[in-house]
Amino acid sequence: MNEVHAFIQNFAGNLEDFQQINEFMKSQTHVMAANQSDTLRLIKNNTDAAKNSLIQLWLITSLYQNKSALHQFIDANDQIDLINNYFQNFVPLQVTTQNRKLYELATIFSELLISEKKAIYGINTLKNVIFKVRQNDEQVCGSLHKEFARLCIKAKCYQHSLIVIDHPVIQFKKNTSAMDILNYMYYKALIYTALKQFQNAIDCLKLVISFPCQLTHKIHLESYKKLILLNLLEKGQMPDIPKYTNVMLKHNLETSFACYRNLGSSYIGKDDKLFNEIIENNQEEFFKDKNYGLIKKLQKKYQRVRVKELSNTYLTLRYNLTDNKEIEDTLFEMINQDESQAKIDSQKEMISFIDSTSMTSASQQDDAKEAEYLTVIEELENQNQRIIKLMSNVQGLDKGLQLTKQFLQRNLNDRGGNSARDDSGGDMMM
Amino acid sequence: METYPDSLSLKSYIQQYHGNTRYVRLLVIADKQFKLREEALKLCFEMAKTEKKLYFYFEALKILKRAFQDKLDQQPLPDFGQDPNFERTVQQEYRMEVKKKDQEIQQLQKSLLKDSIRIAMNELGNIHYQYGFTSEAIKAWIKSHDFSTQEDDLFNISFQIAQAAYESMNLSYLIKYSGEAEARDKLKNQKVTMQIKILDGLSSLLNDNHSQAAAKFSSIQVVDTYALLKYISQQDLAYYVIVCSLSSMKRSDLKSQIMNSSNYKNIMEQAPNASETIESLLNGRYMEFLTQLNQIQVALKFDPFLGHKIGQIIGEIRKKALIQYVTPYKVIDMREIAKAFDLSIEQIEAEIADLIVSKKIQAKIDSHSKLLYSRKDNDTLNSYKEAVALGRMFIRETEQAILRVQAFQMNKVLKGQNLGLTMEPSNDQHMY
Repeated sequence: MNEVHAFIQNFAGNLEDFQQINEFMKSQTHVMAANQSDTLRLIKNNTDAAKNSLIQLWLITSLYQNKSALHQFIDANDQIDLINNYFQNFVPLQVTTQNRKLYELATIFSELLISEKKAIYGINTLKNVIFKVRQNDEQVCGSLHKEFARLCIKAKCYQHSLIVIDHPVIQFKKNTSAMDILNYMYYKALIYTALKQFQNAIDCLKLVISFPCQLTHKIHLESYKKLILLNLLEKGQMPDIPKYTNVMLKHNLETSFACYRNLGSSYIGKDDKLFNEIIENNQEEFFKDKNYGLIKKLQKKYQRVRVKELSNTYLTLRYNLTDNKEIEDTLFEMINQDESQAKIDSQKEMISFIDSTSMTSASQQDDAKEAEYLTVIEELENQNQRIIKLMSNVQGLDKGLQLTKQFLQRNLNDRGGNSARDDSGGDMMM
Repeated sequence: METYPDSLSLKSYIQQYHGNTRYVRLLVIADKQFKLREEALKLCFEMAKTEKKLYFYFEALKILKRAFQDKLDQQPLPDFGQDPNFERTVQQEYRMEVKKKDQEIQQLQKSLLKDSIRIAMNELGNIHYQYGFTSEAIKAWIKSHDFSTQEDDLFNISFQIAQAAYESMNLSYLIKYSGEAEARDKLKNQKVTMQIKILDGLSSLLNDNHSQAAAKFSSIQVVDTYALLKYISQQDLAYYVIVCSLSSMKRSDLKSQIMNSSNYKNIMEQAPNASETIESLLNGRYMEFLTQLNQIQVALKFDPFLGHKIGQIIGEIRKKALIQYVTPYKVIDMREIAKAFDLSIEQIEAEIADLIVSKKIQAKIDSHSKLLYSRKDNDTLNSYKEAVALGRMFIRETEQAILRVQAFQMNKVLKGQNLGLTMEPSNDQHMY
C-alpha cells in the first residue's frame, strides 16, 4: 500500500497523465482490494474527488472487489455517503478513460440504496452524474440511465424521472452494453405506463423487441406481454410485431402467451363472457407477470369503450338497465367524471346522449375549434423541426457508414467485378 | 341452372360443365355439403371410372374415408361406387405409361436433343393430365416450358399449365402462367384467347383482387360456349362480374368500367334474374337489388372460388348499398330504410350502428323516435390529426432505426455472452 500512497503523493498535482495512472492502479488493484481499511483511509484523507477523480474511482471500485469483507470497515450508509460524495464532486473529463468503472459504481450505488430502502436519495445524484457525463440528452450512458430509471421506479418518483427519460434515445456511449439499453427502455416503458402515457410506453417496448439480437431473452417476453395489454388499452387492437424483429424472436413471440392472445381477441371481438372468463382463469399468471394492474385497467376500459361507442352512435337509446347494471355504473361514473354527457331515464329505461357541441354557443365552438387547430399545427411544426434534425443525423450516419472498412472493402470488390465485366465487353466489341 | 345444386339437380348442374372442372366442383360439394355428399361422391366415382380420372377417384375416396373416419373400426365404408379392381388396373396402366415415357426421356437426355426432350416432357405431362394428376402434369410441362424456345410452343405450354393450375387451384402457377399466356397471345384463335382471358380473370379472383377480376371478366367476349364450360358457365361469368364489381368499385367506376364495356350486355343476358342488379343499385331500387343479390348468393353457394366467402362479400355489398341510401339525408326515418331493404327495424338499427362504429357513416341514431341524424366531422382537422399521427410514427421509426444501425455498427447485438452484470425486469435471466 506504501507504493500506492507514494504514487498518489507524486501524482497529486499531475492530473494529465491518465494512462500512467490507469496502468499503475490496475497493477495495484489486488493490493488495494486486500487492504480495504488502508484504501478507505487513502480515499478519505489523501485524495480529493474533484482533484483526483480517476484515482478515487480506482480506489472506490477496488473496495468492491471483496464486497463481503467491506462491512467490517464501513457500514452501508457510510458507503452510500462515500459514493454520493464522489458522484457530487468528480470531474468527468478525468474519468473518460474509465467510464466503465463509473457505470459499475453507479450500479453498486443503486443496489446499496435499494437494499437500504433509500432509493429516493440516489435519484438526484444519478441525475447530476448523467448530466455531467452525457454529450447530449439523446445519449444513453452505460448503466447510468438504467440505474436512474430503476431508482425512480423503486421510489415511485415517476414524474421526477421525466427530466432524463422524456427524450428519445438515438445514441449511446462507448462502453454501453445492449442489456443496458434494453433495460433502460423497459424501465422507461414502466414509468410511462405508471404515468398513463401509454403510447410512449408502447414505443419503448417496441424498441426492446426490435433491438438487434440473436436470442430470445426474458426481457423480450415480458415486454411483449406488456405490449399486448398496452396496445389493447391505447388502440383497442393487438400489436404488430415491429418489422425488423429477429425472425426467431418473432416466431417465439407469435407462438407464446396463449392467454394474452385470447384475451386480446375476446376484447377485440367484444365477447364479454369470454373476456371475463379468461381473466378469471388466468388470474394467477397475470399476477405472476405483475400485469394484473393493467388487466384491471383493461377491464374498466372495456366497459368505457362500449359506452363511448354507444354515445358516438346514439342520441337516444332504449336499454334494459336492470340487466345491464355494469353499463349503468360505468355510464354513471363517466358522467360524473365529465367523460360523457348523458342523462339516464330509469323510468322509461332510456339513455339520452347529449352532443357536447350542442351544449355550447357558436362563438365558444369557434374558439374551441381554433384552439384545437392551433395545437395540431404547433405539433406539426415541432415534428417538422424534429424530422429536419433527424435527417441531418441520418446523413451523418450515412457518411460515417461510407467510411467504414466493410463498406469500402465491399465497394472495392464490386468495382473490381465491374471493371472485369467492362473489359470483357470491350473485347467483345473489338 | 338458376338455383343452387340440390340433390335433384346435382347431376344436371354438373353436366353443364366440361372437363376437370366438374370433378373440382363435385369434390367441393362433397367436402362442404353433408346433405349432398353421398350423391356428389357417387357421381364423382361414376365419372372418374368412365373417364379413367384416377386422381379424382382417389380424392373422392379420401373424402369418403374422412367422412367415415370414426366408424371405420366398426363397419366397412359404404358402397358409393368404389371399385378396387378399377384402382388396381388403371393405376397399373398409368404407372406403365409414365415409366415408359420416363425411360424415353432418360435416353433423350443422354443424347442432349433439346427439342425431343421438350416434346417428350410435354407428352409426359399429357399422360398425367389424362389421368387427372394435374399437379404432376404441371411439373412436367414446366420442364417442357424450360426447353421451349419457339414463341408458339411457349404460348401453348403456358396455356396448358395455366389450365392445369386452375383445375388444381394452384394460385401461384395460375397467376404466373395465365399472365404469360395472355402476354404471348397473338390473337390467332378467338376461342383460345377467350379461354386465356377466363383463366386470367380467375387468377385475379383467386387472388382476391376483385376490381381487376371484374374488369377482366367484363371484357370477355364469349365466342364458344362449349370451351367456356371447361371452366365456368355463362351464368357464373355474369355473377362474377356483378359480385366482383359491386364489392370493389365505386359508383362512377361501375358505370364507366363495367356497364359501358361492350360485352357487358351480352354477358348479362345469360343471367336474366340478376342482369339488372347493378342498375338496380345505381337507380336506388333497393328492394329489387337485394332480391337479386340474394339469388346470386344462393347460386354461388357451392362455387369453388367464391362459395366459402360469398356470405361475407354479399354482406359487404349490402352495407355499401345501405351507406349509399343514407348518405344524402340529413335526417331519415329508419322505418323507411327497413322497408326499402325488406328488413326488420331492429336489424337495420343494428347494421347502421355497426357502420357508425366502424366509421363508415357519420351519423347518430335516435333509437326512441327511430330517426337517423347525419353528423359532419371536421375533415380538415381530422386530416391534420392524421398527419400528426403519421409524423409521430415516422419520427419514432427513424429514431429506432438510427439506434439499431449504431448497435450493429458498434457490435452491440444482444448475444449470449454479453448479458453480463445486468439487472433485468424480474431479477432473473432466462434464455430460450
